[in-house]
Amino acid sequence: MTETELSRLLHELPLTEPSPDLLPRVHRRLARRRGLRFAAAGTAVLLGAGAATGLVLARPRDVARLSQLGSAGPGSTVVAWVDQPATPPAPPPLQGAPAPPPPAYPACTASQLQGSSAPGGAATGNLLSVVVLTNVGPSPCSLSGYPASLVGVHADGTRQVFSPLHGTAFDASFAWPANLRPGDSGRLGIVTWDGCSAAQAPGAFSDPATSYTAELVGVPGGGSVHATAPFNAVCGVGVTTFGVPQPQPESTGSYPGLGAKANVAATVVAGTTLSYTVTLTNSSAKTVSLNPCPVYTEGIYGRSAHLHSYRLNCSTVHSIAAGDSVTYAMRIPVPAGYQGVAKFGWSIPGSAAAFAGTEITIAASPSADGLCRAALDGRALNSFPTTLGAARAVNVGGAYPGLRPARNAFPGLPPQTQAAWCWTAATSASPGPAGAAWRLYLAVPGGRAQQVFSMGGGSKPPPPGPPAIP
Amino acid sequence: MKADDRAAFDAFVRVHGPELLRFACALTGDRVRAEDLLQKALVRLGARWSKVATQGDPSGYARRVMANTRVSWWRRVRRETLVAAVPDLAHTPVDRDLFLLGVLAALPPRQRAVITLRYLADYSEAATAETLGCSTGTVKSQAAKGLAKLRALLPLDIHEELR
Repeated sequence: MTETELSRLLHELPLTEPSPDLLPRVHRRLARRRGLRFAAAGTAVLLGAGAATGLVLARPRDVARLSQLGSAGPGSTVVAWVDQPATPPAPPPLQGAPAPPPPAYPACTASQLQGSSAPGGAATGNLLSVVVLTNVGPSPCSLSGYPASLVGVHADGTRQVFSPLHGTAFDASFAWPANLRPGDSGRLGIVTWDGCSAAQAPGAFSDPATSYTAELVGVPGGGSVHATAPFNAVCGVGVTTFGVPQPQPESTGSYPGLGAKANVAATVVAGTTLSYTVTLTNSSAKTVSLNPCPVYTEGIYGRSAHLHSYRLNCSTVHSIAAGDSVTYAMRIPVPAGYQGVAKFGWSIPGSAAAFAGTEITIAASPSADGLCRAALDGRALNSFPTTLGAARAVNVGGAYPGLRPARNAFPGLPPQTQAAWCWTAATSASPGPAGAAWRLYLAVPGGRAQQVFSMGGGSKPPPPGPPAIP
Repeated sequence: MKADDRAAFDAFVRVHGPELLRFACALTGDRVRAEDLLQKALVRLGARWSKVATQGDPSGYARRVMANTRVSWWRRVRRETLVAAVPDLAHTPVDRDLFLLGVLAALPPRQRAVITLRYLADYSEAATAETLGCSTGTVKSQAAKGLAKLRALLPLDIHEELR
């Protein structure tokens, strides 16, 4: 092929009109760009730092209420994420996290401890019950790690043995270990949640079958302590490590009046970085200063908690006027080792209102099948934008588009049947058709795309032949 | 944007949109990304429309943005993997244009940008070099490599077989 031939081939590529909404989209973006230039002009007003701490978690209805208070409308600025890690409010119990300091005293035995309870809290759909364990013995002892066992006690005295998840409640971690002199009290959090479908049933939280009025906590020195923190296990149970109430983290003020709303995808992919936004809304009548610049904590709570603390990007926005909202770009690594329903939470520790949370689903990294399905399944093929005769192109996973008109390939199909080959490079290490997976999708007019043929690897597409029509 | 400018800009997009979109298709290999790329370029163009229009070559400006944006996209998104060769579809009828786009997409981004500028936008070697910010020597070598690769990937009788 000569240069001239290539030039001719390229010039024979069809000239098609851009989609009709291209110009409107361009003008919207242009308007947004113009808006950005004026965004940095904020006024700074100092705020008194009266600190309401305590309840740090929001029930979903609270989140919903907050979300109504205000959100960044279309065209508002998104403040960029900045990579400024901050001291986390508590050492998160992550695998591979540095080992906790060794307990200062011998492990507490059950006979040294008396159990009671303390007010709990709720946030991001998590409910926290706090077990208090007081050293009533004559000598100091330590509580460290997770409890050896957890047995729930129903109101009627019947018992249920749990295998609780290990983790931490959002913002409800304790400093660990708990080194208790005589008279000192340690804490243990029992974490439950209300996001599962069973919890949506009326009366789920008063069902005696899942309600517990007390518990037996296995302690490191041996034995179990009876304590009286009520909890409801309709969606399952988790426990925190033993600890003592945590002094406030690297604190930045309480930012009264500030509410947070997180905008997070409902489904995120394990092992990737999740980008999301948080909108801070000042629902008070006074301007809220962002000086000192807030530290926020973000977390994904799957089998264990994955918490990160960062400083907000305060370089452009120094205060939020009464009634105003500011949206911040955020990112958080999605844990690779967990799939399923998880909780997502965001808060400014120490601020009573600035929290947000939601339930997310952590999906497996997409396979070739998953990519094709995501692109095609359940969609009408004629919704695909690239049109070439009877066939439409789909470009998935970095492969290039390729297909053939269905009627030519499969003479037995009804007229106007559309076909799409979807192929994906299986791994970056083995690119090319040899490592690719092939899927053939067909849709009859007005119908939905369905996979009718699949082939993993191989250098050739399957031999043509009339496949079954969906 | 002033009303006059906006009218001129809109008219420019209506007239040159198809040609710029084809250019973007050749750079990206598919229509969806091509529209994205074109949108990016038009936003950049619109932001400095009065200046670029005065200089007289808004199309060239848009192509420059697209050729270079595409290159930087690919630099950033390295996990995206191109297949190294086209599948053997020669025994069945294949849409020629789509096939060609697929083959182009198998080229490294820089080569694709050079090929697209040289043979679709009909830029000289010097203009291509200036647009991409590289030397004419680089343009020559990238064009030669790209052409050789396309020769290897495209069937000799592409006109017959792919029609």
